[in-house]
Amino acid sequence: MRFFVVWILLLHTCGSFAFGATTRSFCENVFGPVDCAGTMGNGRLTIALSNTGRIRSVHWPSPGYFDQLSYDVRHDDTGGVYVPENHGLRWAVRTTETVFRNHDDYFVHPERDILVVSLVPQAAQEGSTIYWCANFTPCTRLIPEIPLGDSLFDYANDFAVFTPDNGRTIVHFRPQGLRVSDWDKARALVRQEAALAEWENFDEGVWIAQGASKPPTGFQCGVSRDASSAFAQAKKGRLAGETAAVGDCDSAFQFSWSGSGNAASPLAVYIAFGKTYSQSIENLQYARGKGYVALLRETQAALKTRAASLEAATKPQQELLEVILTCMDRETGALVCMPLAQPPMHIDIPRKGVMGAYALGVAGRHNLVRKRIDFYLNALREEGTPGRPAGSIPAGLYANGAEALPHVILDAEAVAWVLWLCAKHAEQLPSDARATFAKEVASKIEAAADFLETWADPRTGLPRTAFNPDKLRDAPSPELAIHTYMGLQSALALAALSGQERPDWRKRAQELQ
Amino acid sequence: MMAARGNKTRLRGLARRWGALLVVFLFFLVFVLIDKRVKHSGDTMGFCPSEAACAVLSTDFPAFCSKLAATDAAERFMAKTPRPFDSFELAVRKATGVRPTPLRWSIWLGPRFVASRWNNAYGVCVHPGLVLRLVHTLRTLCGARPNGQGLHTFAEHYYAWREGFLIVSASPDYVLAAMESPPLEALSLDNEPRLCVRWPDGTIQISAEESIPVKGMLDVDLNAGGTLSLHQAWPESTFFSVTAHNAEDTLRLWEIAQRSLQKTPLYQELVPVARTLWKHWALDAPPENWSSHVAEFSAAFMGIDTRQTFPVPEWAAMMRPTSLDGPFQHPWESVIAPLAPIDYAWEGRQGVIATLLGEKFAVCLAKDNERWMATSQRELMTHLLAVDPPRLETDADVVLQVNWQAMGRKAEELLRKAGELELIPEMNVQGADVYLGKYARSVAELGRLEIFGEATESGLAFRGTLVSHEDEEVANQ
Repeated sequence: MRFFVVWILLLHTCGSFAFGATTRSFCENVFGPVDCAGTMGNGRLTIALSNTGRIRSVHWPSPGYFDQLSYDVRHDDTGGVYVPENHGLRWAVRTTETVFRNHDDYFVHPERDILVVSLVPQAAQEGSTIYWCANFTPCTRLIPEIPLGDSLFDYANDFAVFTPDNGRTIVHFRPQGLRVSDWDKARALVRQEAALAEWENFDEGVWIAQGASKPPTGFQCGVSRDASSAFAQAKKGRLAGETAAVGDCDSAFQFSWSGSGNAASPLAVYIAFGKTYSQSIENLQYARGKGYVALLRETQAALKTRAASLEAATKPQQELLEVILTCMDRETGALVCMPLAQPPMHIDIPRKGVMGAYALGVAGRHNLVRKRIDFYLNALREEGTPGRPAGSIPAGLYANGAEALPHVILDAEAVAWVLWLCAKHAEQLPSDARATFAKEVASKIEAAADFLETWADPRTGLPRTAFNPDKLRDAPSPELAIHTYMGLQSALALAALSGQERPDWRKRAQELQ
Repeated sequence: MMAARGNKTRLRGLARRWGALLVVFLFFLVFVLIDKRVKHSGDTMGFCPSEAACAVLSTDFPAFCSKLAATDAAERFMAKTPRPFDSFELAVRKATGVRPTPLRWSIWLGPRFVASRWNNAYGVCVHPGLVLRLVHTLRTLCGARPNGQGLHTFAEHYYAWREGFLIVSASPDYVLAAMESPPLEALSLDNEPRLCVRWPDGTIQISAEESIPVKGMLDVDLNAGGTLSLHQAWPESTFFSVTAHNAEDTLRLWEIAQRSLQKTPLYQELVPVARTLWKHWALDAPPENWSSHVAEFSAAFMGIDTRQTFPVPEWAAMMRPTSLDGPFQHPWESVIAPLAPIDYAWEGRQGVIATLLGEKFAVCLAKDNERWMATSQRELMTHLLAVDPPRLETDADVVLQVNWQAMGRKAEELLRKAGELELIPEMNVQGADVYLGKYARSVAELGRLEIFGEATESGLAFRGTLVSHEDEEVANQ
C-alpha cells in the first residue's frame, strides 16, 4: 500500500529537473549514489523511499526543507553501498535473535503532518517481540548557499528525545536558535528525570512525536553509538526504558506481537510533526483518535479528489502531475528536484523548475503556476554585488526562497527561462487576465530583461560566459545565446501586453538573432 | 672535661629535638637524589611504535614547557586564552587527581617525553621517578593486575612498563606495538630544552626562546643555488606564501604536506571533489617545459572572501622569467584558453580575465616588466600590482611565510559564521566566540612565521622562526 508513490518515473522526470547529466554524475561521485525509488507527501511532510523500500528521508515542514532523519548511504570496501545499521527508521522482530526488517508500508496524511507506518510481520509467531527503532535528527535551519545541512553537516543536528508518558509516546525535537545553556539545561533535565513541563518549555523548532496503535511493552530513549543506543539495545533484545537523552539521539518501542495483526488492521506507528510540542502531540492524538483504518480512508479519499482535479488526459500525464504536486511546497510553490538529502536534489533549480510550472499550466492549474512565478520573481536579485548582478536569479533556491547554491554559480539561462515561463503563463491565461498579470510583474520582468540585455561581451556580441552545467564551470555555449534571445523575446511580449515597447531589448534580441 | 660533657649533652639535646626532622630531611634528600638518578638513568629516549606517523620527543619536556610559557609570544597568546589547555588539564585532573603543571609533570613523569600517532591512536612514553613507581607498586599490592596481554588499565587508558619507561595510550594496540618496537635513540641536543618532531619525511627542532626558532631537515630533492626575492612582493595581508626556484619545487613541497594530510577525513572528502571538478573543467595544459623559463615561482593563499555565506578562497601566483628577452607571453594563457578569457588592463598593464565560477573565482593573468602574475580575483591583481617589485635578494632555495594575524582574524570571523549557521555541535554564535574564538584571537597575536630553506645533498635544511617577536610586531604595525 504505497500511496503517493510514483516509482521510477520520479527519477526520469524529476532527475531532469536537476542541472543535467554531468552535474548529477558529479554529485553522485561526491555524495554517493541517488538511492530513491519514489516519494510521497502532502506538500509539507514529504518522504522519499529507497530502492529497497525503506524510508530514506523525511522532509518537514516542506519537501524543500532539510531531512529530519539520519540516513547515510556509504561505500564499503568492495565498492558496494550500505546504510549503517543504526540509521533511519527500522523495525525488527525477535524470535531467537533480533532480525532487522526493512519492508513495511506507509502513507502520509494529506492534510495533517502525520506519517503512518504499518508493520505486518508475516513470519512472526504469536509472542514474538517487535521493535520499532527511529534515528531522527531534527534540523532547524537552512544554510544559505550550502545545501549540505542534512548530509555533510548532519553531525550538528539533533538535540533531545524524551517520553512524556512513560514510553507510550516518544518525542524527538530540536528548538530553533539553540544556545550552549540549552544543552546544559537539557542534560540537567536528563539527570533529574525531569517532568514533562520542563521539556515542553523549550522553544519552537522541529518536534516529532511518535506513538503506536497499541501500547508498547518497552521503550528506550538513547544516544547513538553509545551503550544507551536504542538500536543497540533492540539488537541485544532488551530496552532499558530510559526516559530521555540528549545529543545524537535515537529511540525504540517494543511490542509483544499477538499474531492478530493483518493487512487491514496492522500494528501502526504514527509519526506526527509540529513546530511545538503541543502541535506535534495534537497531530499524534488525532492519529490515535482516528486509528489506522480511518486515516487510510481519509488519505484515499483525498487522493481521489486530487486525481480528479488534475484533469490529466492520460495516465502518464496524471502521474507526472502527481510527482510535481508531491515535490512542490504547499505554501511557497517551490518545486524541488527530489525530496532527498543529497545535493542538489532538495532544492528548486529555476532553469529546470520552470518546466514543472509549465506542466501545471498545461493542466490548467494557473493558480499554482502563478505561485511558482511569484516564487521565482521574488528571488530575482534587486541589487548587484560582485558575482551576483542585479536582475539575475540564484542558480538554486530553498523552499523559503533563500539562495541554496554557492553564489559563484551564475546561471544566466535561468533568468531567460523564468521570462519564458511568464510569457507562456500569460498566453495560457484568459485574455482579460493577461494585461493585469503583465502589469503586476512588470517591474520584475524589467529587472530580469535588463540583466539579459546587459550581459553581453562587446567583442563578440554574444552573451558573457556564465555557468555551464555540462562543464561544471563558466563556459560559452550556443544555448546561452539562444535562451537569452528567447528570454528577451518573452520580455518584449510581456511588455507589449501592458502597452510598452522596449527598443533596447529589441535591439539586443536582433543582435542575437 | 666538663665542657666536653656539656657539648655532648647539648648535641644529644639537639638530636632529641631536631633528630626526627633531620632524619626526614636526610630521607627526603636521599629520595630526591635517587629519584633524579632514576629519572635520568638509561641512554634511550623511550619507545613508540616503529611505524608511527609522527613522534614528538623532548629530553626535558617540563623545562621546555616552562621556558616556552615565559616567552613573549606565549604571553601574547595567553593574554587572549589564559588557559589554552584547560579541557586537557581538567581531564587529567579528573582522571588522576593532579592538575598538570610543568613542576608536577617533572615530579611524577620525569623530564623525558615521547608522544606519537600510530594507526590513528595516540600514546605517550615517559621515564617517571620514584613517586609514580611507588604508586604503581601500591596499586599492584592493592590487587591491580595486568590483563591477559600484560597491560594495566587506569582511567580508560592502558599502560605497561618497559626498561623503566612507562607507555600509556587509550589504545591497547598502541601500547603493545610500542612494547615490541626498538628504542628511540637519544637526541643529540645541547643543554637547551627543545622539542623535536620526527615524521617519515623529516625532523624539526623547536627551541623555547623568543620568536620560537626552529631548524630541521626535510627529505626532499629541490633545485639548489641562486636567490629568491618574490616572497617580499606579497601584500601584508597574505595568509601564507611559498616561494621556490620553480613550480616543480613547490609541488614537491605540496606532495610532502599532502602525505601528512592524506589520512584526515577532510582531505579524503575534499580531494576527490577537487579531482572530479578538475576533470570536468577540462582546462588545457601549459606549454611543455614552461617551467624551465621560470627562475622563481611563488604561490600564495591570499585570504577567504566571506562577503556572502559561501566562502570563496583567494589565491595568487607570481613568476619571474629566466630572461626578460623574448615574446614574454604568460605561460598560463594557454591553460585558460577554453574559458574564453577577455582582455583587461590594470592601470595600463595588459592582461586577461577568465571566469571559472563567476567573478570571484576567476583566473586573472597579467605581467609587468619583471613578473608574470595570476590571481583568482580582479581586485587581487590590483593589490598585487600596487606592491613594488622586490629589490632585495634572499639567499635561500625555499621561503615559507605565514601571517598568523591575518589567519587568526579570518578564523575568528569564520568561527562566528559557523556558530551562526549552527555548524559547530552544541554551539551557537556566542558559544563559538567564547569557547573557540579565543584561540583564533590568540593566534592573531603571534605575528608571522618565516622559514628559509637551503637545498643540500641530503635534503632541504631549513631554519626560521614560528612567530614574530613583540618588537617586530610593533615595527610592522
